[in-house]
Amino acid sequence: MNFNKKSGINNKISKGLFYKIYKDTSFPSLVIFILLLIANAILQPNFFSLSVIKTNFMTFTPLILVAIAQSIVIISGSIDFSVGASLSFFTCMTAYFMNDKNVFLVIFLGFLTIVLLNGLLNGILIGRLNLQPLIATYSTQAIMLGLAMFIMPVAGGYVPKFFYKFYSSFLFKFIPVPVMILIVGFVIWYIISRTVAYKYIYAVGGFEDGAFASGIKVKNIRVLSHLIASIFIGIAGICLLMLSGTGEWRNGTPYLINSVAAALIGGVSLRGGKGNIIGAIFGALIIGLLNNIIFFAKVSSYYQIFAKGMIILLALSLASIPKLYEAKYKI
Amino acid sequence: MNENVKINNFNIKIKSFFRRVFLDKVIIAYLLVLLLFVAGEIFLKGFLTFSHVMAVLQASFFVGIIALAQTFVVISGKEDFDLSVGATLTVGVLLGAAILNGKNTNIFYALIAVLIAGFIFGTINGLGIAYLGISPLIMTLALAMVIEGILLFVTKGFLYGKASSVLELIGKDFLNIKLFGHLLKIPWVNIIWLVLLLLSVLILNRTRVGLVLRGVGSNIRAAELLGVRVKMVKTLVYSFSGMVSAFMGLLLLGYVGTPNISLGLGHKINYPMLSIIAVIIGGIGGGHGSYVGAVAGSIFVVTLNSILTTLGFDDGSRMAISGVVLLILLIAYTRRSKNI
Repeated sequence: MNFNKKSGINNKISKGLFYKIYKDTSFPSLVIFILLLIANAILQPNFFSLSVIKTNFMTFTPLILVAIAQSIVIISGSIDFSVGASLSFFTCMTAYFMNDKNVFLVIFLGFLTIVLLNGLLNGILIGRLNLQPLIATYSTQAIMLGLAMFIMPVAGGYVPKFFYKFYSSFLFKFIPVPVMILIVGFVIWYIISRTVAYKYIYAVGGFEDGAFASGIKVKNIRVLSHLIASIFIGIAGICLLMLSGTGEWRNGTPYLINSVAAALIGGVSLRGGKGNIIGAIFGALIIGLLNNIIFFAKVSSYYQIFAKGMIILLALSLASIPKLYEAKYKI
Repeated sequence: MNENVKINNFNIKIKSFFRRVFLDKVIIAYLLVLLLFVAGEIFLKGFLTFSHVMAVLQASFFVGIIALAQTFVVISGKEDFDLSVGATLTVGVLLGAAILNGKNTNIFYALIAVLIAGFIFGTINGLGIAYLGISPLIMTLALAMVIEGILLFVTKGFLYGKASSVLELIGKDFLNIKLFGHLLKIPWVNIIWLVLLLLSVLILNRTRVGLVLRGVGSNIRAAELLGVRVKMVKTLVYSFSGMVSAFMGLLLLGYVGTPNISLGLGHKINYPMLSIIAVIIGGIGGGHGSYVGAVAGSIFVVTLNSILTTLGFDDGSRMAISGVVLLILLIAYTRRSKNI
């Protein structure tokens, strides 16, 4: 009886588009994003011109892709601590082997290595061998960062000019290439999100025992979530390589903490099963815009690391405030 | 009949004895250290002389103290690790050098200031983790970034001051003991280490503090229902970790003499990584384990590091190797038993 009554009340509330957006986990990030957009438009001259959009997205695209990867992994109830090291490893490896002729072969092989090392290795360690996600990916992070440092102790390597010029050019004279890559990534995500496996990822992250009881192969889904994430990390690695034009093992380091912060700002819960990719994209945009503001406020370079760290710390604390109202006996 | 039972009992006892000895992680850790020493003697001649072993132990002290901080953190939670130890110990180094500035009379002020600084940073960690529910590795990594930023804009790349003579004596000098006509040189830091080892074992195994920590680490909900103020305990654990790391920074200043920002933040010696490996070798996990194992663990990682350095491995390959070691240890030790 009670159940019927409740559902009756729910039916009376109109569920229009605005209500849906308001109730979504990504709503706070949308609001912050719009505020920051206004702030940026005031600070940065010609903010809405095509060339400024292009230069902005050149730095935003890798972070957005990594944030998508990180949030898929977090939604599945795990976490990837090795994203930054994977990016560094990718740039070092590809820049080391690249010359004018074998660009696409090297990119392809590098992509495959990332899928194997980041996706499959992490997935097997966490899904099959039941290791704690944080510490398992921490060790793979050390392995990949070590390999990157081993290949390239100082920044260097060779990236052909046409390859990194391509990143800062326009497609059909009006679509910036970084935006195009982002759209490609988004389409890949959209196709994946229409499959049943994507629903299973939410189920495994939200209620593992329940997912197991209803016949989902939990172990395989965990491996799968890491594999899907590694595809996005690979694309982000290509963007980062084209952006920096060199291979360096410090290249990817900031992406770890930024991607986790982006996911958390976007309403993805570290306990898994909650949140969506749209929120993570807004989170990544927020961090990118904040970094822009730091740049245009002409903060001295000594203060920049501190400012960025404080932003991350503030973002992490803000993202965790809604959780404080949840169950009492949980930490 | 009776005989059979007795023999069976005896067999079981023997089996359980062997199992206890050979599956005890602390004993395995010490066996690993022994194995590594033998390997060192095979690869590098003159590895197993008394003076060299003492030098290795002296170098292990610094990772060992970080492992002490890490031990308390790891015992108090299943997913808790402190990655800000490297940054916090750099604070200890720079602050200690600035206050000491070569004068022995300032050593007391330096100690107090360094401990307070460590306490503040550790408490920020703890507040974020316990009260805001931020994942420990993420929180400590973010704070490490903030500390690095603070160090950069406070020093502006210019480092001030140096260690005083007393601190250098403690940091790198030896206690000379004459035993049966041999002159044995024992580093002062290792005597400090022994005292800290005894104290920590006493605290963790014989006091209420240890009981509460292990309770929180093994089942946080049960501990809270039993009336433990869980969040405060967690916060204080991180404060303690910060204090210990900063204190170790002061001693490290005594060991090297002049401050250097890359002591804790550089990649030559990755203190968070090494201390986590040390703790896991020592068989410490949420709610169980003792610092005795972590001591063996820290000797192991430092010895491995120094052997690899002497054999000509660069920073990158050493880091990759330590990652592989950590991975193997994780697979061997900390697999969660789940039926799913």
